[in-house]
Amino acid sequence: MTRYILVLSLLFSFLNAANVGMHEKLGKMVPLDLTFLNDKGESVTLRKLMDGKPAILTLNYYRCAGICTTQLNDLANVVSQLDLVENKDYKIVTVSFAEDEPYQLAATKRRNIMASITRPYVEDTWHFVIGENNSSGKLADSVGYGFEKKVFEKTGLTEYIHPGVTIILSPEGKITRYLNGVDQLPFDVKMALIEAADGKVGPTIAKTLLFCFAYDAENKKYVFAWEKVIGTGMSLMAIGLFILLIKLGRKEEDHHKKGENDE
Amino acid sequence: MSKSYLDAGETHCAIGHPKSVFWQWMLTVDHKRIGLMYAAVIFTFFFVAVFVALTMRIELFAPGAQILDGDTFNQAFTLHGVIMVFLFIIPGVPAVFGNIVMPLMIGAKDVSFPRLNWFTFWLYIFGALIALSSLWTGEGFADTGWTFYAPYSLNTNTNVVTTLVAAFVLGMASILTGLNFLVTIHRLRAPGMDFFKMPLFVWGIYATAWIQLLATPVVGITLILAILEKVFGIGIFDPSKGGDPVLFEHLFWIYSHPAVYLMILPAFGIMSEIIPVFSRREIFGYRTIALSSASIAGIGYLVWGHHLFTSGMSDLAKTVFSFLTFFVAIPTGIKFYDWVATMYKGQIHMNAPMLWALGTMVTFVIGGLTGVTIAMIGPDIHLQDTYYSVAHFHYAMLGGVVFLLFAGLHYWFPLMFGRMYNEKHAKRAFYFNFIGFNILWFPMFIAGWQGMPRRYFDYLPEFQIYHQISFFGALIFITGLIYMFTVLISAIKKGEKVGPNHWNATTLEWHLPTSPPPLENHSKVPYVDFRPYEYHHGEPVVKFNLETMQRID
Repeated sequence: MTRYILVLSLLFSFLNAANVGMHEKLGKMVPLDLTFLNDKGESVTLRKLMDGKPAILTLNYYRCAGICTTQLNDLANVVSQLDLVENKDYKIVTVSFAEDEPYQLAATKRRNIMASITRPYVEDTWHFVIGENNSSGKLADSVGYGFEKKVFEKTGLTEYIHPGVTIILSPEGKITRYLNGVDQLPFDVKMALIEAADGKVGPTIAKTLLFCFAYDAENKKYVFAWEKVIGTGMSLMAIGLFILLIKLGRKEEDHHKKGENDE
Repeated sequence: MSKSYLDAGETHCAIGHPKSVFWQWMLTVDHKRIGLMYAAVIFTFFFVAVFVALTMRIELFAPGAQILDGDTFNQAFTLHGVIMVFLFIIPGVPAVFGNIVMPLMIGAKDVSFPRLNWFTFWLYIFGALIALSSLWTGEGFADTGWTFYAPYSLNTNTNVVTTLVAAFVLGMASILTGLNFLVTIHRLRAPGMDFFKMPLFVWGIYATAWIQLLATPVVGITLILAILEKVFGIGIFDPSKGGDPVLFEHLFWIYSHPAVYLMILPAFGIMSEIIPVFSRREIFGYRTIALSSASIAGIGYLVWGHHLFTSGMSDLAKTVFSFLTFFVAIPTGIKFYDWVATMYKGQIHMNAPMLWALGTMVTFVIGGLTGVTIAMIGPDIHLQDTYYSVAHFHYAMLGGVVFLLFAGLHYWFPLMFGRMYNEKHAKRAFYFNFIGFNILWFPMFIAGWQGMPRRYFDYLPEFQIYHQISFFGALIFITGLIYMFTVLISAIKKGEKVGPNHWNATTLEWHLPTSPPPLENHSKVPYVDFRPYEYHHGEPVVKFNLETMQRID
């Protein structure tokens, strides 16, 4: 179902405007000084929201009847399973790009989503904010997120045509990954976060993971780097054999010591 | 009279204790007998491939098709290459002399895993039968060349799959041989013999064993991938299925270039045995020769890309591969200087093995240095796939590895059979071979330089002179080969009987109680507290009582 909606919305976006969709800007910086209204109506900078940590950024709008809820529910599900420490290893920022939404809506959405997380979760990790002074529009531009406002005349409803994407930012605000689609694997998200942290805050296991899985930029997925793993395995086996042979040394029992060969 | 390993009943068998002499040979686990059987099979294949090559030479005597059409010619050079590479030269020195001589040199009774050794031999025979079966079944023998380059090998209708399976099985045999020798050298050395007291041939076998063990699986995987693609249509190498043909070339040469060092290192080992014995001088720079074997094995892994200079590769990669290739010349050069320095002021005995070794010094230097010219990116663009590279690798492989294999054959012949061949005839045979070889291959450097491409059954008239000179060289060379083998084979039964140490050599394989050696080798396990090539005034320093293996010097 989610895929169906996604495809439909992407289809819509292609039909409607060339601007709608993702125009990836990997490696570019997002302006961390942009201010947003949080779910209490306070104005905070993106820098403060991220708090010097790698961040998962999603762009949505809270009234969305399409893919936004699906995407956020899936993200809640993912973070339930994610074996990184929330609020320490990462932050999540969900930004509404609909400028007319009130902050109370962000608060409601936040309550709903947080309730769906299936384990105790540090709530301060995940911020739901809305733009002020077109900050959400600027943010969307800086990450290459193209959306379009559409008013349906029959119903009088305002909807947005927009892509579904999860963006990973480094602590400095650099865009490090685009994970397309509305359903992610915890593994892909974890890898992206570890990479975003630039290996500095990642635990040792993360380095092993980074070695074994490489990001396939074309398909936007992490793939098992079998060549590296098998190559390492083979090298270790060869080195192991060499060490074994050295340690075993000569097979003494078959031979005689010096001067004892006159039996 | 004491018995030798060649006498009936003087063997251990893999299964039971057969009474028939035939089954005693078929089931033998004795390293010396297995080595002899390898020699018989390997040299048979050598002659088959030589006659295929002669057929091609006759075809090339004049432009246009005479006795072979284009397609048959393609199959002929593939057959020649596959037999020479997979059935003859890769097993070559390790399978024959690694088996016969290496355990004797380190004072062991056999290899570490004698039954595995027996199994390996028959695995090799099985692989050879698969390869040959494709000659008479299906659409005939593969016509791809021994390198099986994709995508052609995936699209041709000839029996490529059978040949690939054969190469895979033969590779398996090679891996097992390597493993067996590796463990033997580590575990079964005589007491006191540390790594730097081992004879240099053992060092050559040791370096080779690592290459066999580590590089051969790569070609195994590659051949399996090619089979998967050919049989099931999985797109791995064929670009029309989304594959990458250059990937095949990389994977293929990741094995096949180290395989060249796998061939040459034990052959260099033979050279390092012969030079001190026939110069009656301790070898110059023992450690440098030993370690250069190890470093050739190491660097040899990293140079495969020089086969792909014209296949599409980044300029940086080309430059790196080119320089790495130059580096291989350094340890090789060290060996050559050491050998020359060993001969300096020595008492040089011009026996047949020494003649072969000295001849190789000439031919291999030509083969090696022409290799350096085509390791340079610029000249390689011009010379890739011409007769220049054909001449280069025949000078290096035939004039290096095979000549040294022959040198070893002459050197260890009295050890293997307890008899001596007629040296006068053996020396004459050498000159036939040496002269014929150079007349055969040298014109190809010139033809290749002028643009004669390899693997063509036809050519422009201006190349005719070179092909005709080569043809006469080939006749002389083949005469020499037949002459040489006649001299050696007739000596197996009729040669003059000789004692255990015919050449006044110093290493342990010459200190056996009988000639030829008995089953289980040395009468007692010797203690080795001496260097392998100690001579004083032209006489071996270390002498043993062959019954007790106590030193009596």
